[in-house]
Formats: sequence, structure tokens, C-alpha cells
Amino acid sequence: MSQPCCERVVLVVDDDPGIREALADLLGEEGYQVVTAMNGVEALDKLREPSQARPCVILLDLMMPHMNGHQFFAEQQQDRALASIPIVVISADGAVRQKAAQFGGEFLAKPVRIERVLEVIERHCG
Amino acid sequence: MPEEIRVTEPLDRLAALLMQAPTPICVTWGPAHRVEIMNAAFEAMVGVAGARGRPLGEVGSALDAGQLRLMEQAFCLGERVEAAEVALRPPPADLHARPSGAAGAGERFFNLVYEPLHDRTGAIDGLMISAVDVTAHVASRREFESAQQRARFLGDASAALSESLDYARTLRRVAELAVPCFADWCTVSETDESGGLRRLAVVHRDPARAPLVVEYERHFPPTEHRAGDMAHALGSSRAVLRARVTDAELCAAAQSPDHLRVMRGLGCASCIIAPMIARGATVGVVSFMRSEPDHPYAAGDVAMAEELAHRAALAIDNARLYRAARRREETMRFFAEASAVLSSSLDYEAAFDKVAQLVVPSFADWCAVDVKAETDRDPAIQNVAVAHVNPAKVELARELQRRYQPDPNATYGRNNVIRTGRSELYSEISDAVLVASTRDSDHLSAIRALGLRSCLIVPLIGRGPPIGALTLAWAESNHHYTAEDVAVMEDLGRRAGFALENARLYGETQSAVRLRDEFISIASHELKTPLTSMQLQISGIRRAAASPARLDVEKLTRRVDAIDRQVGRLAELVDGLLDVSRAVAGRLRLNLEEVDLAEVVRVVAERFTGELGAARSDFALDVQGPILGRWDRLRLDDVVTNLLGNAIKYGAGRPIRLAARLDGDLAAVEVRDHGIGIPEDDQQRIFQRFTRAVSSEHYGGFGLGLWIVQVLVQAMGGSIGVESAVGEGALFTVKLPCHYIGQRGAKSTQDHEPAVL
Repeated sequence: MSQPCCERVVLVVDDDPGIREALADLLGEEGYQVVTAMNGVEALDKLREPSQARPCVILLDLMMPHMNGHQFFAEQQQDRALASIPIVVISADGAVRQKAAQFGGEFLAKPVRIERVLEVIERHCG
Repeated sequence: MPEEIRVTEPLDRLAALLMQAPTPICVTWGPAHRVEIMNAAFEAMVGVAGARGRPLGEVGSALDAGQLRLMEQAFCLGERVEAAEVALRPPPADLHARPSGAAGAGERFFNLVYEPLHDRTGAIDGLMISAVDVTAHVASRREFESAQQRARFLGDASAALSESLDYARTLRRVAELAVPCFADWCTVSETDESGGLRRLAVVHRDPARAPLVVEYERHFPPTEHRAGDMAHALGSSRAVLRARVTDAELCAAAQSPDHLRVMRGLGCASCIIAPMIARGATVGVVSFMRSEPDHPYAAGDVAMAEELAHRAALAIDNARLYRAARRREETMRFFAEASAVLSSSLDYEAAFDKVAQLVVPSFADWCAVDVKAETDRDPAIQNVAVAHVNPAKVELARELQRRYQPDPNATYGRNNVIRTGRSELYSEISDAVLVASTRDSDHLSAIRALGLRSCLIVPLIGRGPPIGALTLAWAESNHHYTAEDVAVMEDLGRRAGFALENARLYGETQSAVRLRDEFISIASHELKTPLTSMQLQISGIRRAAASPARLDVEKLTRRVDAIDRQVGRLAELVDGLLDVSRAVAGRLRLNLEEVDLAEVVRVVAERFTGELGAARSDFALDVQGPILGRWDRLRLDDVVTNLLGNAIKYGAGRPIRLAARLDGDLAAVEVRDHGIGIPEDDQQRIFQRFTRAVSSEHYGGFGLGLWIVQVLVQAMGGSIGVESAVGEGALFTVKLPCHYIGQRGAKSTQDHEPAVL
């Protein structure tokens, strides 16, 4: 993550390919460079790739195989280079709204409109 | 006076008179006491005839050294010497006189007078010995003394018997009293409910014979020894006297050479068997035995035996009543505690542990609680509690339980009690029973080491069929269970059964609620996932529609297609839910037709090609076709799809093998993966509704797949099983009969579980 944040890069972490594709497609239309990962492990791998531009926000699903959102968050907080990247939780679990405070308070309930997603992202990347 | 006497010389006449006198008279002369005259009565007294001229001391042995000394005294001192109640017995002499015994046969008693005789010079030249027979007098005095002694003895007996209300001690007391005064050895047996006899005490006067007593007690129960006399004594309520028991009779009565050896060792030359009767009921039998043949029981002893037995019976009856009262008190206290324990916790395993601890030691030396396992798939019976005062023994019992699982089809024992709901009472556990109920010599010696004497098994019954059993046993403390105990423990069994049922219902409700909550959470997550992707695509389309400049037909089509796919996915999920709900309600309908299982398996494998590639698992398909049978094609497809899908999902990219083959009349499908595996504890659970071996956070899905697979397989008359170890993957095997006849609805496997859908 050597490059400074100039391109507006967004990391989408979700185990559902339909959601990943839709977000990549729609955010791409808005001029974001979208990086996708299907779980926490892959997300960390991508973030730590030297050639990878640092995202201005991470859209994080919680229920995922291999490494879920909570575990990913814990790992991210351990990594000094990544700890400051803001996280927005997008989950189908309504009860997570309270827990989202741990991730900086940002929470979007599934299903979600792209307008709501853009609104939140712009606050971080605008 | 007859003529012939009148004509004789005066001295001859005197001698003739002496000879005819009815009292024994003997005249001796000289220091050697040579017999000058001995009349017939004297001859009869000493048992000797024609002794004239011989020294009296050498005539027979009737007059002992003591009497000879008295003769010397009279002769030397010239004094009249008297001896009272001299016992004279014609030989042979009885060397075993008893303090309390009556006069021996033929024994007579005389008062003797030694009168010195003087010659003309006044010098002593002889003795006149006269005697008076006092046998009758001595006998009646002895009789009186003996009656007094007997009264004193019985008085002592009553005092000793009333000392304690402890049942076992009282019985021992009875035996101890009779020995050695009245018997060389004595046994006390009580009658049990079934009319049998149980020996409770054996006492022998000779401490050296203690090992024989122990052997006798251990190996020769009373019902097998002298049963005829005992039965007779019990039946007639009168004592039976066996004045002489010959060795031949002993041989005939002995059941084995060992038995004969022990009986000979203890000595049984004469015996009285007296029934113990109190309040009109027979409570047992006392046997008095004398070892030596020269001092047998006589008819006169029977009354004494009966009297002693009667007093013993009263003491035993009192002790029984006291014991019963104590028992009732204990029972009430026990029930109060047990009820408190059972109602204090809904954790029934903990509650049963406490109940088992309560039962020991008041009602058992051992207590075990076994309950039917909760899963219907495996109606195994599991042990939930074992108690013994000694924790080391608890471990031994657990070890035995593990090593020797009881035969589930046995017609006796714990499993039978659970099956039939009827209690089993083994009042007396004989060695033969142990031999018959154990598997091998190791098992037998281990069971013997427990020293079980009596056993009682009662069912745990709530509202429905028995759900377990309570096993109680007496060992070290040597008690025996009775019909009364059965009633008490059956009551406990019912209370515990209800408590268990309540705890289970509570547990089931709890887990049903938990499962429902979890299911709702999973279902909403699963349903929202395609909705989210649809919502995003729709908002994309709307945004495009808002700025026609950005409208891109190709992109639009792609979005609509994506929405279409998600609609399909939603529909699938909804179908899944419907399947579940139908399965729960037992309305799954099968459409049976001739199907080739091999073909179904190949079709499913082909459908998974893409996913298998993505999962990077090596895939092996091993199908020997065709495998024909009557099944529901779509359900069969569901089963294989589900299992293969799971293998890919949990297979962690390692090799997967799908096989199908014909195995006699059964078709078998095997799905093997080498993924994360399933812990043993979870292997039963995974076939239940809404359960997964792994957390829902890690793996999506309804957690219904394997449950539905099982319902489908069972509906087609088959079975499903899993073999797995953590980290080594899993092997799922489905077995289906090729020609299943009954088209029954798939019954819910857990009828009582509340429907949550």
C-alpha cells in the first residue's frame, strides 16, 4: 500500500458473487476503482499486495466462510498500515446495527439501495 | 416268721436277714476290707456278684477312691462316716457331664454309712456299709434346679433380646444365647415374603470352627439344607426333634461332598428345629445342634427350644416393627429430599446424580440411573449416574458399564425393565445367577468382586412409556430388597420419570426456540442475499433510466439477467422452506417410479462440474451402472445434490469421491470428502433440523440439508449414516432398498418437537 490515496479505491468484501458483481459494476460507473474479495482472508491478501492502491473505504459483509467480518476487523486493527481504513458494514443481520459501532458506527442493512451506499462512500472518499 | 429261719442258729439267721434286707448292706473285715457279707441289694447297687472274700476296693469300679478313703477313715478312726448322694453308675462311665443336664441313663444316687465293727476285745475288725437309695430325691431336686436355671436362662434371654432393636444384632443375639448352654451351635433364619428361608446368623461354641461357619453361611443356604425338617417345623408350628442324627442320615441330606464335610466339621449328632412364631405368624426358624453323640437332645428339651424360639420371635417381631417404622420415617425424609432435588433443577443429569447420592446408603450400596438416549435414530440407553459410598467403586462400575454393554434384547435386567415398564426384584443374588448373566470369566470375576447380594430395578416412567431405569443393589451391607422396597422405589421412579420428562420438555422447548431463532436468522440472511443483489441491480437500472445518456442496452440486459438469476435463487430457497415445512408436517409425497440411480448420480456430478472446478477439489466418480430400483427421481437427485454440495462446501479443496453401487438388495451411495470432518459429538446432531456442526457465521445455508436428506431417504425405506473424524473429512453412506413397497408419508422423526415453521 505504498501509493497515496488519490484514486478513489473501494474494497468490497462479500461471499455472494451477485452482490460483489453488482457493487463493482455500479460503483465503477460512479468512477470508483472497485477491488473485490469473497472473504476476510482474500481481503487481507489484497490489501497487503504491494501494487494495490489503498482503498478509502471497505464495504464489509459479516457472515462469510473462512474468515468472517469480525475476524477480518480484528486482523485489520492489528495491522498498523491498514487500521485506519474506515469500514462500512453491510449485513443482512439487523441485530448487527449495535455491533457496527465497533467498526466506526457505519452500518447498512441488506437489502440496500446503491444511493445509500454511494452516500456513505462519498463521505469517506469524497 | 417262716419255719426254716426259726430253726437256724441266731448268727446264721442274722446273716440270712441281712442278705434278704431291701437296703444295700455289706460287711467287710480286716484292713483290706474283704467282703464278708454282701446282700443282693448291695450287689445290685455296685453291679457285682459273688464278691465274698475279695477286697471291696477291687470289686468293680463302682466305689471310687473317694469312697475307699472314707472306708479307711471309718476303719482307722473307729468313727461312723457318712457320704451323701454318692453317684453310682454301672459302667461305662459318662465323662461328659453337663452342668444343666439331668441324671444320665442308669445313674443312681445313694447315701452311704460306713460303720466300724468291733471284735470281743473292742478292736475294730471290720465295717458295715449300708446305703439308702436317694435317686428319686436327687432327680427331683435336680429337676427343680434345672427348672430354676432354665427360668433364669430364659430371663437372661429376654433381657438380652430386649437390649437392642437393631434387627441384625437381635438375630445374632438369639443364636448367641443358645450357645453353649443349650446348643453347640445354632442357626437363625427368617422367612421372606415368598415363604423362603434366609439364614441370618450362625454361631458355634468352638472358635476354631469359625472358617467352617463362614463356609457354611456362604455356600449352603438354609432352603437347601434339612429342608424337610424346616418345612415341617414351619408347617406344624411345632419344634422338630431329631434326637439322633446318624452319619448315614447326614450323608443322605448332604447336597455335595463339600456340604457333607462342612456339616461333619460343625458336628450334627442331634438337633431341634424350632419355628419362631410371633403374633400368629411364622417369622423364621431356629436350629439348635449338638455336636457330640453322647449328649443328645431329649424330649424334655423341646419345650425349652420352643420357649427360646418364641422369645426370639417376639424380639424379632419387635425389631421388624421398629425397622419398618424407621424405614417409613427414612422413606418420607428421603422422598422429601428427592422431590426437592428433582424439582430444584432442570438439568436432569445433575438432578439424577443427586438422587443417586440420596439413595446411597439408606436404600442401596449401589445406585445407577440409566435413561434412553434422546435421539430417535439411536435408541441407545445411556448411564447418567452411578453412586456408591466409595468413589473408587464408582469408577469400577463405570468401567464395567463401558466394557459390558447390556444386551438390548435381554429378557431380564435394565433394558427389559425399560422395555416392559415392569420392575425386577432379585431378592437374593445367588452365584448361579451371576454365572448365568455374565459374558465370560473376566466379566464374572469383575461382577463377583462387586459382591452384589440383592438387586432391584425399577422403571423411570413419566406420562408415556418408560424413559429409563433406576438400578439399586445391596452388597457389603448384606441387606435384601423386599416387595415393600419395590413399591417405594417405583414411587421414586415415577417422580424421577416426571422430573426427567419435564426437564427434557423444557430442554426441547429451549432448543426448539433457539433453533427457531437461529433458523430465522439464517433464513433471513439467505433470503436477503439475493434480494440485496436484486435491489442493487434495480437501483442501477433506475439511475440509468434517470439519465438516458448513460443508458447502455447491453448493460441493462446484463442487469435484468442478474435479477432474473436472483429471482430463481429466491424461488429455490422458498422451495427449500416448503420442503421443510411439508416434511415437518409429514406430508411429503413420493412419486415412485423405475429409476436408474447410476444415471441420477452421473447427472448430479455433471451439474457440479463448475463448482468442483472452482473448489479445486480432485473429483472421482465411481459408478457401476445401471442400478435400478423404485424411487422418486427428483428426491434421489435432491439427496445426491445435497451430499455432494456439502462435500464441496466442507471439503476444503481436498479430493472428493462419489460412488454408487448395488449391494445385494440395497443400493448404496457414498460421498467421501477429506475436509474439516465432523466431531463425534455432532455426528448425530447434524441430521436434526436447523443444526450444523460448524457455526452459521462461517457457512451459509439453512442447516436443513442433511435433515431433509434423512427424511427423504427414510421415506424411501432407506438409511443414512456418517463416519468421520475431525480434520479427516467425512464419509456419508446412503442405503436404499431397491424395491421399497410401502409408500408411506415421510413421518416426522421428532413428533413431539414443536413445529417451528
